Amino acid sequence: MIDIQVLGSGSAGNCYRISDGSTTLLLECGIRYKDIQKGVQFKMSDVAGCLVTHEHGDHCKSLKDVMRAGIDCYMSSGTASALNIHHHRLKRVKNKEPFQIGTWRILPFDVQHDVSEPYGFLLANKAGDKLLFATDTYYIKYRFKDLTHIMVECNYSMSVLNDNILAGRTPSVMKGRLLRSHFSLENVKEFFKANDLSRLEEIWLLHLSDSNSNEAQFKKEIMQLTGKAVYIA
Amino acid sequence: MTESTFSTALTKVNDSFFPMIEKQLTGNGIKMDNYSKQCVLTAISSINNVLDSKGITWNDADLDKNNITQILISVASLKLNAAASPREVYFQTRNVSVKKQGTDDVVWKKQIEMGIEGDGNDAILSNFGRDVQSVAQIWLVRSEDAFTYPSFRGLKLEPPTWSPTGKGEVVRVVYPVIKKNNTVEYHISEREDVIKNLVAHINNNMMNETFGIAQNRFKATFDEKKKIAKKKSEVLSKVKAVGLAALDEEEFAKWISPAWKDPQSRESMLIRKMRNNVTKRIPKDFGNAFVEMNYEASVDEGFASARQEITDNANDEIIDVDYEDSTTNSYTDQPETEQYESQEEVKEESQSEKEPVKTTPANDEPPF
Repeated sequence: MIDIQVLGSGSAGNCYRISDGSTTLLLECGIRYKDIQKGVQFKMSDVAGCLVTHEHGDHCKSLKDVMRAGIDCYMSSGTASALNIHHHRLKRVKNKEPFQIGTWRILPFDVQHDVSEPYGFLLANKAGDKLLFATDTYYIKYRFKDLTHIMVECNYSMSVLNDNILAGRTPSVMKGRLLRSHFSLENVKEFFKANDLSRLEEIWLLHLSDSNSNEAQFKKEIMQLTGKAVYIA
Repeated sequence: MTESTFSTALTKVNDSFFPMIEKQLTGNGIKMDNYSKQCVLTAISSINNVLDSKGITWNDADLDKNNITQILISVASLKLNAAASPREVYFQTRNVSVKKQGTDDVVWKKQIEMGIEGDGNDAILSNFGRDVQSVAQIWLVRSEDAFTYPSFRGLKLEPPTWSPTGKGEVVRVVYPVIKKNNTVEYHISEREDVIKNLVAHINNNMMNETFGIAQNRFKATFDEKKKIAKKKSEVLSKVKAVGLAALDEEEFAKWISPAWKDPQSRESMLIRKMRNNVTKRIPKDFGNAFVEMNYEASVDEGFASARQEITDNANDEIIDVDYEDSTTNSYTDQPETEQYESQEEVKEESQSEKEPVKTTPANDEPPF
């Protein structure tokens, strides 16, 4: 049983609290520290670790505060170098080399985003649950087995984006960047089709774009495709 | 293949594809007019000729029919006529590896590839250009032609002048575009500007290049990635410095497609790029996001290469992790109160909420 709580999602800031009842983790710390504290009912000492995918501010805004609170923050060497922060709480982890935090065993894997060394994380716990966390990537190279929970970015839809470009609401140069940095609804659907979803309990769609997404449409299309419970972060 | 079986086969093909295409277009709010229908018919006929020449039948299990449907939808929505002269659109076959859904098995399929000719872009400009009434005969200005650029006297435009000699290579392309208010705009593209297209082409073809620094780009470490990026940047800087002469440089040959390099196709490629550089920058009004998307997919190299990369690499390798009751690789620490190692102490800067974590300006993602 995994409890997922969204403290922030989107380009304004991302932070998620996950717990398997034994070990609590933060996924990203891209919102104000005060909001993280509120989100965990000020029980920062209950948080065993924080996983950071990459160096963009909306994913690690409160990194220093989180480390100052005595929480280890895990990220790639590339992300750590890009942030240029040295701290004994900053833990560099390697691509596809699993590590353990409490009752979670975590496998970092490379994703595709326009930054130094972005990671996604596959988390397995003692109870046999398996959670995939992947954000800010325009596709995922990998397929996964026995997933019970998926937290995946679904940033924009090509049709909404094209509509916005046509209407002048979104600059056309944005399209080039989005194509090679963020997960589109169309590619997320291909990802779901390619994976075995037989054990899947929940899908969380993350990091929806403020202007180039459609929450209701995304939820409906992914539910129709997978037949699973879909939540929008 | 006899005449009667050919027409019967083609009729069957038309009958199977037409309803699908019409349904998709109607579902996206596009009414299929008579000209769109004619475009689909001529496209099916042209594709049939290509398949025939390769000895492939429409019922061939190796033929990717989804891809054909998509092509016919593009042809219909963009109103590209395969029977027009000069050609607006062409078709060719290529072999693609396709992964069987949910398995690691790879099967090879035949795909039809659509390409828009220069005149196809002109047709799109005429049909969908914003406030465009028509596009007059384009000027292919050669190096030995007499040519003067357009100029302005206040608000009054002095048109360009051109005296063709037919000698020399094409150095610029001029598009006289007649607007709906009967004014004429002259859009010009220079040969030397094609270097930007060549740099983009080489950059795309270098996507998987590691220069021997790593086994492949996915296995490259952070430091290796930095070295590879530096090398790529050096190559592209060299290409920019050399200009179109880079087409003859052995050093860059492996990242340049034959269509760019070969003497028999080079000139037409450069002209096509010059023409595209004009037609793409004139605003279009497709009036429908679906048509717009088809246009992007057909002409946008960045879009096409991103799609190709995703098709080639996405959802490919299986990785897994299971919980182990061990402390191997365990990072588990007891949470503790603030405690710094003196030499690693973080400066306690009070950051404003809008400030990025890093001090470099590139650290924040633009909001969208």
